[in-house]
Amino acid sequence: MDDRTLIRRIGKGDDHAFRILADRYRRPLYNFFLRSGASIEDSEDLLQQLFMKLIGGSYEIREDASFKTYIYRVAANLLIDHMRRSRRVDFVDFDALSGDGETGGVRAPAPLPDEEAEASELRQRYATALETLPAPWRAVLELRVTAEMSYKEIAESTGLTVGAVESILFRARERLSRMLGEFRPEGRAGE
Amino acid sequence: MNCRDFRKLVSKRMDGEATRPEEEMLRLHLESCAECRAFSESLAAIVGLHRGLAELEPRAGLLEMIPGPNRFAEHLSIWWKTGIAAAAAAVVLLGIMAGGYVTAGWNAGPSARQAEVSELDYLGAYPPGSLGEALMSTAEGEDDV
Repeated sequence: MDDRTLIRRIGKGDDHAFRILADRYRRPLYNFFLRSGASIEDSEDLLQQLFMKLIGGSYEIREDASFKTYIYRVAANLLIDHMRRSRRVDFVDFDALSGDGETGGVRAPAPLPDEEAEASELRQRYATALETLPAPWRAVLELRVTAEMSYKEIAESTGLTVGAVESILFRARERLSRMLGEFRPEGRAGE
Repeated sequence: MNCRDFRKLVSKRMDGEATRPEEEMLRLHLESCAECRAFSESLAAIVGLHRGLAELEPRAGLLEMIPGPNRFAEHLSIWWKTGIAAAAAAVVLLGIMAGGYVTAGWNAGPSARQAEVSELDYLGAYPPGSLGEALMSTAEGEDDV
């Protein structure tokens, strides 16, 4: 059942439709909050708030708009409000996110021990590097890489301009690349 | 355009947001710039690392605590009905009070009306020789015209 149909049914008081939608989005949205810098407790709270809004609010999704864009916009707004209220972001333990998919995710074919150790170490370094990015950058990165939203959709969800989205993604990736040692621009050559 | 501008295009292309002319310009530049090629490869690796991050599971039962839309509507309905009932009761009560006040006025006996009139004593005759007296006498005179 597609999202739009579920939303219509929820509007008519269908509990079952709500449970289906909640199952579909709870994990990606929860991880969106976590990876954007909210603590586990705050992410749980934000997730509950988001779904309460879905039930209690009246909304209309434009025919040409996707529900995913809409729900991530709600999520981004909740996150922004949360950041403003707290004025401080508790970084989640990203070590947990660099693990080997204990909680799900697609498993690649079993790698050789050395490769596995190297890959694990790189994931760890990546998770650590990610943690050092400003929370808004991480949120935008999440919307792009995990939620696979376009620049325009991210801009609509966050209130940023498309140019700002483009700039944030580039700067975040440039910094991550540098921190991982994958890329080091030679001084200011070429600039 | 300098290399940094081309690296921005690498990022944009990765997201499928580069225009055709931009892609073409980038393709030509990457053929001759090892540094930007290295950046392009590192970005691809970063995207892979990000997608490989484990997804944590929210606490079991977290969303089950939320009442579904049906129960939510029931709660709203109860509050709505309670609110309407309270508003209706308030209107009735006000009506009774207002009615009582009006009725009290109508049922007031002669002494009550006299009391009202006596309160208007300050509107008694104007002092002799006053302007008020003159005006009143003029008004009385108009009736004769």
